[in-house]
This record gives sequence, C-alpha cells and structure tokens, in this order.
Amino acid sequence: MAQHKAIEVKSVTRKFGKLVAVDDLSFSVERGEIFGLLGPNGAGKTTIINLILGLLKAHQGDISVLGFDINSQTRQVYHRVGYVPQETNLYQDLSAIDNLWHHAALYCQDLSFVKDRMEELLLFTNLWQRRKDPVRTFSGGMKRRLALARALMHDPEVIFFDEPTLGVDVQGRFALWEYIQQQREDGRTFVISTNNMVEADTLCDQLVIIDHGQVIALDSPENLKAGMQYDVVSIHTSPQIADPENLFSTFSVQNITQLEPGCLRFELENADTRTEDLINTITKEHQLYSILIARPSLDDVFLFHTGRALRE
Amino acid sequence: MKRFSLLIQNEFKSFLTAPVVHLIAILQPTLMYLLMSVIMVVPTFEMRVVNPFSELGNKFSAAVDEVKSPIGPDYIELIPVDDPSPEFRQVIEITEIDGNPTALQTYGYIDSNLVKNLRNRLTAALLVLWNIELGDQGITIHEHPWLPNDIPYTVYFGMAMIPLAAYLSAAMIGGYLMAQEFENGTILTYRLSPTSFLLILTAKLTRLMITALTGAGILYLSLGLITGVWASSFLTVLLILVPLILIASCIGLAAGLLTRSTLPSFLIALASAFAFWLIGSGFGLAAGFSTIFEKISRLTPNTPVIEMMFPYFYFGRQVAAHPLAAKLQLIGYSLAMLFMLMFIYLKQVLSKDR
Repeated sequence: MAQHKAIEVKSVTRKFGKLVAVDDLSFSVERGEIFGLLGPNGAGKTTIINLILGLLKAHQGDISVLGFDINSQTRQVYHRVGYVPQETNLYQDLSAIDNLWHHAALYCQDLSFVKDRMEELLLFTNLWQRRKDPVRTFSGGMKRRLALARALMHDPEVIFFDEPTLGVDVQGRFALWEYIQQQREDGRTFVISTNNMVEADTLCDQLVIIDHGQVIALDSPENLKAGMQYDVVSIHTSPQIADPENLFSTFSVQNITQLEPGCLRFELENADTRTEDLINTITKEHQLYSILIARPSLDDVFLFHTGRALRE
Repeated sequence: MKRFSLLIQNEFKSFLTAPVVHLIAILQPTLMYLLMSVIMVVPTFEMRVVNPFSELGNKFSAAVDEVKSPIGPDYIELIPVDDPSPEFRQVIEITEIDGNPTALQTYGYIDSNLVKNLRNRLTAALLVLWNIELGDQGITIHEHPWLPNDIPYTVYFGMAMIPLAAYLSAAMIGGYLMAQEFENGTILTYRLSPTSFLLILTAKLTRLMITALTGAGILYLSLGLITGVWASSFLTVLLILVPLILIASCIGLAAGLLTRSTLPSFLIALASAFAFWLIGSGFGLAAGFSTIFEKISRLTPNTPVIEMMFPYFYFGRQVAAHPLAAKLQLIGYSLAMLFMLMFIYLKQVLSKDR
C-alpha cells in the first residue's frame, strides 16, 4: 500500500463572515520534507495551519494528515503532530522539565519512555544544564528551543513551526535551523510558516507562496528563483542618473529603485548577456563605480508574486 | 492511571504560576474567621448581676444552675456588681417589686443569638423560681433542652464559613488558572491534545477538590482550636462538602473559560462565594429568618450543606426539614454544573467553528 503524504489539502475554503480567508486552496506535503508557508501578513498562513491542525473547520474541501482525515480522525492526527506556535506558549513559572512533563501527560501514548526522551531532547536542544530553572529566566532563543523540544516530546511525524526564529539572535537562529535539519534527517516532516526569506531559502525543500488565501506559487526555492524572468542589477554612478527610465529606455528595465544617492537597483531580463551594452550606456555620461548583476533572491520572488504594497 | 496522576501533579504545579491567588483563596476565609470571631463576635456574654449574694440572688443563681445555663467564660459570664451602673450594657438586678421577685434586665447591643439564648434561659430560671414560690402546689417542670449544652455562636459562625472556604478555594483557583491558560496561550496545548477532555477536566476537578478540602480543613482546625468544639465526624463533614466543591469548581472553571481573563473570573468567583455565604445561612439557620429569605436561602448550595453539617457540630441535632431533599438538591446541582462545564469546555476550547 502506498504511503500517505504527510499533508494533503484539497480545494479548501474557509470564510470568516464575508471575508474569504482561504480560497479553494490545494497543495500537498511529502513526508520528510521541510515545507515553507510564505505570504504577507494577513495572507492566510495562520488560518491554513489552524485548518490543517483541525483548530478550524473548513467550509469546503478535505484535509488529511498522514492519511487521517482531520475532522473525523482528529485524535489519530494529534498523536502524530507537534506544533510550535509563534507566541511561545510555555508555562513561564515552571521549570523546563515541568513544562515537558505537562506536555508528556497530555500527548505521550507511552509514558514509560518519557524520562529518557526528556533527557535526550534537553541535551539535543542544549538546555540540560538549565532544565530545573523557571522558563521565565530563559532567553528568547532558549524558549524557542524548549518549545521545539516540547513539540518533539511525543515523537511526532509532522511538526508545525510558526515563525521558528522570530526574535531569536543569530546564534540561536543557526542552532534552531540545525535542529530542524537534524530532525528532518530522522524522517520528520516540518511545516514552517515564516516571513524570513533567508530562513525559507536555507531550510525549505518546498515553498508555497500564499496571498489572499490562494496559492500564488509552489515549488522549491531554487526553482522559484530560477523561474524569475529577470536579473537584479545594482549600479553605483557619479553623478547620479537623473532620469533612469529615459537612459535605459532601450533595455525595458523594471522596478527602478534608488537605494541611496548615486545607487540604483532595477530588474532586467537576461542582464548577464547585456552587461557590455549596459556599461556602455551608463559610461557615456556617467562615471560607473560598480555594477552588480545577481539572480533574484527569494525576497525578489516574494515581492514579484505578492507586490510591493504594504499590508495591514 | 499514571496519566491521570501526572495530570493531577501538573495541576498542582500550577500553584507556582499564581501563588498569591492560591494563598488568598485558601486562607482568606480562615483569616476572616479569626478576625471576626476575635473582634466582631463576642464569644463571652458578660452579664452583670446586681447583688447576687442576697437571698433572692442566691435563688436566682441556683435556678440558673438548675436550667443548665452555661455560666462561665465560654458563654455567659455572671459578674457580681453592687449597683446597676448606667455604663453597664448588660445588667440583671434581682429584686422585689410589690412583694414579687423581679428580674430587672437591661440589654445593650449584643449579638442577637446570645440575647435570644439568654432570654430563653432566664425564662426557664424564672419558671424554677416561680415554682419554688408555689411550694407544695408547685408544678413539675420537665425540661427538654434542644441541645444538652449551649454552644458559642462562634461555632456556628465558623461552621457556616467552612463551605465558604471550600467554595472560595475551588472557584477562585479554578477560574483564575483556567483564564490564565487563555492569557498565556497555553490553552492551545489542551486544544491539540489527543487525551480525552473528560480526563483533563477530571484531573482539574480533582486537584481543585483536594485544594478546597485543604482550605476547609484549615478553617475547621482554626475553629476547633479557638472554640474547643470539634465535629463528631470530620470525615463526614468533608464528604458533605464534596458536592459543594464540585459546584464551585465548575462555576470557577466556567468563569475562566467564558471570560478568558483572570480578573473577571477572579471577581466572579469572589462574588458568587460571598453571595452564597451571606444568603446561604452564613449567619444563622435559614429557618430562623423570614419565609421569603428562607426560600431564597434554600436555593443556594450552602444552606443544604450547612444543614447537613449542623448535627456533627450540635450533638446530632437535625435541622434539615427534608434531609433527603437537601441531598438530592446538592446532587442535582452538581450534575447540572458538570454538564454545564463540559458544554462550555467543548464550546470554548474544542470547538472548530469560530
């Protein structure tokens, strides 16, 4: 029998009054994958996680996790998934160990392995030395690590991680990424919701960009970037180019942005093959200090799909 | 069973998340009792008796002894004085008016139960005196005292506060901790838990039950140490409190679930605890008040509880008009509250239709 996918979302719609938060959404997540949910604020990421976790009921469509229907087989799903919400919901006045005991009592099917599992996870997340300290004395990064350890307590197959490194320092961020990758190597599936493009690029095997409750793009970070039709060009000139639209009218550049005086950034199709023409055009009337032609980053991909308008 | 025991342990650890609330909920009634029994309730009725060593005075004292009035520092302390000085608030002067032995009584402000009790006793004593005067033609008096000994009002006051102590501990801690789960976001752990919600609620109720019984036990201990009166069966008293604690726990948890905020749930628990205490026979048996008040009082869970506890403090004396009805009332309330709690938990925590 074929193994079920980690998550299957089929034609799911969810409304809040007249607002359509998720609109006929479909995607699937393979087992052992780190899957990223990207989208501007209010795009529907949290609603989607809540729907997959069964915290909300879809008005239309089907959702299954590891082959179990989330509405009719909720308990089977909850035995197999872990969730680290964005706001670390730990008992601040209890110790790390007490927090894990609390979780174990609510989630672990076999309680005989809890002590060993706890030690293993506290060592894994580098919190063993602080296991008896109240959580309120922990740094933001330590709390996120403890939240991850807690979500792993009952040995789930799928872990949902909302903004894994929000508010975490650089060292803590790298440590968390490493833990997630290690757990993935052990066969676990991660679904990550993030606004951090570096994080998405570094961690995720697949990304879905969501906006207005719909899938805008779904692919690996590499393919998403490769799918962009332009390169990003950054130039530094003197004097400043006064009318870049006019100067580059023969190149059909897009999204010209002035980063600082003398520095311009714009998008140009196949810029790497037109470098010489570009330099010649600029140097006719300006002194060119530097030119950088780069493939679009995930930030560019994201902005391309979701636009530059600010969201509430 | 191991899971259940772990869940209860976790519930107890939540003491660390709100130690002050725990202390207030558990100790407040005891502190109130200590304060009120020492300051506000006069445990000893100081009765000045003018010239008690006269012939009439001796007769009066003998009559008082005969009707077993509890003369002494615990209740009515007779203090011999020479004159009925106006500064004395309680005075009895045994004298003769028109050749008849007469007790001139002056009462000041004093706890009404003590006054009522004293008047009953004096009536009995005067009956004895009257009988002596009648000599051979006297009537035979058979006394059937309701209680073999009078018990200080502080006992009733303390006994009626035991349900308050139990209720307050359960409702206040239950409500506060449940609301805190929402405020801290930890309620999500319960929403996603594969463990049955009935087991989770049972663990919470069991923990509240133990805490509330502890609160009631502390008050009971204080009551015993202060008055020297102990219930004939402490375990039965605790058992009588169980349905009340269940009701209080359900009300507290429901308040936390509905308000999702610690302050309102704290206030709801506090208000309901004190309302039930004041209306529910907190200062005297419901039957001793007006018919309307008695009816209202009987609607509270406290009144049947106090009436069921009463015999264990008052020499087995039954005061419940319908003991079975009182038990059924408490069982009915408990079941109704349990169903209400389950419904609210399903709606507020596990519902997917938000």
